[in-house]
Amino acid sequence: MQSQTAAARAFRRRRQLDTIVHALLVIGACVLAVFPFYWMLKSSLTTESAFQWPPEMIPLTISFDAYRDVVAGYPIVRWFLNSTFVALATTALSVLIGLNAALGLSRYRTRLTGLFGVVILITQMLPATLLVIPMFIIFRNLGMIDSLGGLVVANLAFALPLAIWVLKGFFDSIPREIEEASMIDGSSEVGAFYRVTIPLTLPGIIAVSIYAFMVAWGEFFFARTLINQETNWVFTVGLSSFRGEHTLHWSELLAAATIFTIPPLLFFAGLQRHLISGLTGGAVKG
Amino acid sequence: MLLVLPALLVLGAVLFYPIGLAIYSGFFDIGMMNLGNPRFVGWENYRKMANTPAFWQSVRVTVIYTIGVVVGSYIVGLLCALLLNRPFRGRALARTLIIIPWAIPNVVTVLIWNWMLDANYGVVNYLLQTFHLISENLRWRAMPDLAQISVTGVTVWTTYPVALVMLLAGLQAIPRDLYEAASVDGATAWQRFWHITWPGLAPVNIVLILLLSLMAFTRVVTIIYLMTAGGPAGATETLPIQTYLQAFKFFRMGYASAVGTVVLVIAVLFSIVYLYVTSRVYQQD
Repeated sequence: MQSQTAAARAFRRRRQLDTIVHALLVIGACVLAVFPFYWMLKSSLTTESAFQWPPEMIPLTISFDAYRDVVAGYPIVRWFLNSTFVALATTALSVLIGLNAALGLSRYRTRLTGLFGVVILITQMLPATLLVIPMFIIFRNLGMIDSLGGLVVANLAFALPLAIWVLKGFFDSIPREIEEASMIDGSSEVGAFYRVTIPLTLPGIIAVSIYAFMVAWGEFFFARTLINQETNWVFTVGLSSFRGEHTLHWSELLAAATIFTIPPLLFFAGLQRHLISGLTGGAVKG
Repeated sequence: MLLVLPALLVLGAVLFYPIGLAIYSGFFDIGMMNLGNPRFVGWENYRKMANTPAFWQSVRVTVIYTIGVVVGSYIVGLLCALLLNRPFRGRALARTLIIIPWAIPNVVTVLIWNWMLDANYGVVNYLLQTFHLISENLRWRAMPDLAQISVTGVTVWTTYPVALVMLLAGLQAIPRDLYEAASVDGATAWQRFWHITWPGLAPVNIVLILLLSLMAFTRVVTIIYLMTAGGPAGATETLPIQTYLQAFKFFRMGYASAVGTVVLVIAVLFSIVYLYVTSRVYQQD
């Protein structure tokens, strides 16, 4: 008896130790993942001490001077609005066009369906820097350089195929019978799609929206190449332009970067569950 | 079919036609001066490419970078997924925190890391010195070897969440009772991993490794471009970076199109061979 309880105690102690080690590893991983983000925030809030050596890990005093200066000194607001417009328009168009296409591909299976799978794969292989060359030539010939609307269209090249694919996966998982039942109740085929099927794919629509928004918000090469005028720049191009200057104001630069990171981060924190299920669905099933 | 039509029109305009034009442009001499009036040169661009040491240097850089990113993201992603693949309090929070790098735009990622890797005031140098891993500040982005390590590391920081999310989904699809049965039979943790977890992840691995390879090989350009612009001395000039620099720095659009086309062709061939081989291996199991 005595030895058995000793063994049980040893077992319990081992499990406790195991839990503690696991907890420490998880915390360590979290710290490593978040540290760069923390460092950006910290450096943007400590204006004077940016060039301090050794750097202080936890700031004793914080100030919002860098935020004030960068908003006053650069067309940050303008870039922010431009980025917002481009990202929202890209998202709206991807979802709108993508929904219809996904519905069509999922409900009327033709040779096109297989072809679309290939198209999705090819867009994954296509270097953005290659695509931007013909885009530049086409846009110049059409006189569309410097147009934010043109940039939206260009962004669809990468946002739309994935939107179609993810949404098609969601439509595939909804049985046709649901639409048929609705049609028996007197709605037309199209009416059944819009009233019954599309609301059921809401998680997919959310996933695709976040994805398209994040792609368009962070897109750099099209924006860099197709837009020249500083007032039409989006935030990514504006941020990268700080680099060329002689005196680097790191605090201001990182303050601008923080402002720019807030929208995708909020979306992401609030809706990551949908994003993850949208993007892993196909991989795990297949 | 009416439903698919708008998508086809858009993709035709922004994808199919431009890809065609890009491949076609590879056979022309196009510069800033003769944009409207390109000169047909046949295979000349490709011949020049084959005879340019900078191209082959770039091929080597691309291969090393791609392997580094795939292996790095996979290992980090798998370790984190294993940590998260068991119930504990605060798991949802931990997962959110660990995949945060995913949500940060590449341009911002680069800014943060450029600052953290700053030769004089960077926190990375400071931490490494504090732990006595280095004796003097390193110039991370200015030395060829260090620049390669830096761009690879920063890319991994942005791509491992993709690996994590997919691997975690894969882990959770493995039936629990397999592990219980193995524990009863006295299998060690390592044996459980090797005989249950690893084979169970096979379907995810096949998709994930292809996805990561293609991302590193063709898509992740912003990070390198803004960190080192391909330098120093071409040490981080991958083929997509070379494509961009040739087109918009040296304005050799025809030659750049040819380089980009080579990237596309390699990626397509790689994917076909890869999918063929993995599907054969997969079916044998």
